[in-house]
Amino acid sequence: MGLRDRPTVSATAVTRPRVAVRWGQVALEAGALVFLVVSATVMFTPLLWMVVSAFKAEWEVTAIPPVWLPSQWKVENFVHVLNASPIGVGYKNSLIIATIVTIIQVFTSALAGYAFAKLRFPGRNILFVGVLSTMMLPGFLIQIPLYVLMVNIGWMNTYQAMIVPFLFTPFGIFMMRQFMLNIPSDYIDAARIDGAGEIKIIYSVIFPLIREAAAALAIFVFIAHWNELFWALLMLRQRHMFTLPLALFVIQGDYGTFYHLVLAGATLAIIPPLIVYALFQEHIVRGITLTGLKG
Amino acid sequence: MAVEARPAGGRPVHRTGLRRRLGLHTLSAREALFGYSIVGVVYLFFLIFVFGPMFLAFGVSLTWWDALSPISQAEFIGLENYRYIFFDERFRLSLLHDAEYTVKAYVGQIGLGLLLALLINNLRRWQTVARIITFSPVVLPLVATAILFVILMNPTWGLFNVILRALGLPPSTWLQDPTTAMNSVVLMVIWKYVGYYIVLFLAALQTVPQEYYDAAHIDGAGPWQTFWHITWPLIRPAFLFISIINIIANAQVFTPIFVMTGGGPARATEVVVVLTYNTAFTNFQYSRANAMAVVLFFIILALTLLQLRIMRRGGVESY
Repeated sequence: MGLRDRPTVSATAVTRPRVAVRWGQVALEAGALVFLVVSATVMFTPLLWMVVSAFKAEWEVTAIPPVWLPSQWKVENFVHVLNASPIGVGYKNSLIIATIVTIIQVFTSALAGYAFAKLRFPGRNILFVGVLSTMMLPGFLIQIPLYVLMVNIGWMNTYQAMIVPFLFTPFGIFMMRQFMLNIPSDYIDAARIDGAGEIKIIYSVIFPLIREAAAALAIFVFIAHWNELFWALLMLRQRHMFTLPLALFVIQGDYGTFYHLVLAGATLAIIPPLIVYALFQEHIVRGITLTGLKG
Repeated sequence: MAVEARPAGGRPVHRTGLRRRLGLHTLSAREALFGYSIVGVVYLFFLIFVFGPMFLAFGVSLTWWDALSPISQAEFIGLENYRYIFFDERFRLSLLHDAEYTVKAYVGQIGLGLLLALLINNLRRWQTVARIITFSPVVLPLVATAILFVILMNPTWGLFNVILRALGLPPSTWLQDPTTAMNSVVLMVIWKYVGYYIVLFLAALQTVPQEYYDAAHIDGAGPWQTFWHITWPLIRPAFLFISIINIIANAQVFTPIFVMTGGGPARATEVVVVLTYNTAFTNFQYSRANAMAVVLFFIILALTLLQLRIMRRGGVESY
């Protein structure tokens, strides 16, 4: 680019950068779209195949060459699975258990989180560290011995066995405490000076301020208990008490090669969490980043 | 904390003085009492449902007991269970399978998660869409996903081999062969959980100020240099934290393996928690299973402490 070039190039030089930038943008945009299409294909193809195959006839699932779409969309697969397998009962039990655990655990986590974040009493921080340290204990180490306790108090095959051990969790307490640290103490002190009792403060000052964190925690707890298998395997041996994951696991064995029915069961199982995700995906992401990175 | 409020007059008001004037000393006693009663309930609960079972696990691991007969029939045998599993080939193999699973899942989830997060972070638009797409498998029920992948991985008519054949690639034996079974399970958990790690890494990447990237760009730094000199030092604390939660979660894997292979074929995927479960509830060697659980717990604890040490040495104090 010698000096003498300048006069001659100047005419094109005005437009060239703009064109170059535009081409760069087009390339970037195209790359982004390719990336999105590829990841959507990888993530959604298995799910799409599952939902479509759940409507197929038995032979269509295993046909070679593959039958992509069912010749007849068999809704009766779902009816059959709900009525004639533990899936229907599992659905009911999982809804009951996951809902109750979620409601209670969000409440207890908020209460304990409030105590550890906002109430002033000697030894508070060391007591909190004690709670946190239980997060280090893996579930299997606790649940295998807890099995014996449950057997001895006669809680095998009961709802309370699936609910009571999860009334408080270190994760829930930790998450709510972290969130409440950001609430100015002045609000609470002001309410106290106004003569509000501790219970009233929690109801009228704290609960309205923690809705977002409570929603995120509720989603986590619900999904976790909707998916729980290990503890259900230990506790629930009678079919009328099966949860959905346990029912799915069992029909996989029961149905053998009736893959269309297994897939109908799996399709039914993914619907509630997908609805929760579609409605609250912002909360979920914020909740993960809140607990995952603000240690 | 001595100077809490500074009213318009400018004279600092000491909290203790303010409290005394308003009669808050009785209120603070009430506050402490309320705090202790909540924390008391929490600790009572953890005593029954966490610490109690944990000590029971340690205690039971020193006995011989099947959990079917009354606990009074448990016979104290000292460290015999630990001696047995120390020399037990099956337990040793389960530790190796656990390590294999943990390492492979770590590389897939953390490596791919970070790579995809970097890509998504560089998108000008569509960031939310990309995140929603990659995160959606995370919320699916694990058992349903595992069962779906078992069907997709059928060697004869499964979708995966149909796709491989269509691409002109050799089909795989997937879960049916000891040499490919573990990789197949790992493939499923990478697919399912990579979105979780993308969200975590994206949150970390978004704490890096844009000006740093602009400055690097002006100085003519390439993407590789930018990553190592700007991004990496700033996301290192988050990276190590994410590593720890990944390893803790993967080392105690149960459900994907139990549902997809049951530990087979030929025990090629039998990890520690699956072996522990089978020992306790299929072979009714309950006390020996507790010893296995205790050993795995100490291994996970050691790995966590090791990583925390590495972090401190790296000058990370915030976690």
